[in-house]
Amino acid sequence: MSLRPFVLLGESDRGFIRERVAAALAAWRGDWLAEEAPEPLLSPRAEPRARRWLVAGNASAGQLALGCRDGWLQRLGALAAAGPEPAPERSPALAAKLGEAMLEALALQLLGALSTAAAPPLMAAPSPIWEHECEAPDWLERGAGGVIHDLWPLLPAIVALSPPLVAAALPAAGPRAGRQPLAQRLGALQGAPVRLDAVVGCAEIELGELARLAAGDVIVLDRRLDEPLALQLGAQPVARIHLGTAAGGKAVQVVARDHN
Amino acid sequence: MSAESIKAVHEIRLTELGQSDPGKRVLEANLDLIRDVRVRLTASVGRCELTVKELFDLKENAVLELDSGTRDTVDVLLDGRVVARGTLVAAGDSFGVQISEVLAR
Repeated sequence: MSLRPFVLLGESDRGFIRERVAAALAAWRGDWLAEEAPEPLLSPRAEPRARRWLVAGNASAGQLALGCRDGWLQRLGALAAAGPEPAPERSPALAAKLGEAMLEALALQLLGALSTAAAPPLMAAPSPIWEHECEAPDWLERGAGGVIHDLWPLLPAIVALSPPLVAAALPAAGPRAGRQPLAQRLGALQGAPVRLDAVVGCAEIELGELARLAAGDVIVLDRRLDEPLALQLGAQPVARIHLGTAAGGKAVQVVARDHN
Repeated sequence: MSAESIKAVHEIRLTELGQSDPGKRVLEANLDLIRDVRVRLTASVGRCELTVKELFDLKENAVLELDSGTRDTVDVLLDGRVVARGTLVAAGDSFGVQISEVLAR
């Protein structure tokens, strides 16, 4: 089965989210970083590669996760502490602690910025939790629909937004008013062709056996003779079928929907 | 070993990996290496093409003609690609495919 990439929002939606969090990012930068540090920007990212996640918000109303790789927390802490004396070099553990605190503050500020009007329950969100203390949200899995950003160019951290948070953050009216997801206008898709396979069954074999396969060999399938066959869309069964003939050729008749 | 008995603990730092020209091939094409890898074969008696609308309108008892016509072979697919053809047989209580042709490529 092929994997879907992470969702990359369209330019207008990305711009909208950037605008919403710009003030929060600037305030956070002012709290923690030196004057000359560049302005952090959200920029889209295709992969959520992180070693540690900090999760804030709640699953139903919207969640935000900040991800960092090993050593990133230290770099982040070092950014904050960087002054005439680059102390973090001498105290990596302290820099990492400082980095953690900075990310926790950032998570709350971003969540607040994204949830003001649309999802008030988030305002009362509990403190962010490091992933090793909680279950990793499943929307962080590849293909599950999270939207991933880099905090570019400033921070060695990833910002991930859950689908409900993105939905809450984007305006229902305004710039998006004319926007209708394609799936809601099925008319546009109705003529698209799909190819279905009439599948007798499957068999798992080792590549060694496959390489030796020769005429006359029999592959035993995982379907009993008294079971209906499967009509499949790719690997997905959509209906149970009987094999027969119609109009002089082979045909199948739908027996029932597939309940898988 | 208790934590106290370890004297010095350091963080392990990874070094940046350099961009170099590709070197020698790591493996020779050797079936022995992949012999035990399990793959899933699918046996298909034919295909049909519908539109999305027809798919969502599909009802029980509907009859769909297959593209295989009167051909009585079954395609054996690996990842959607035909790797062999054969005839549908009964193998004990189950369906089976008796291979008649293995496709070279």
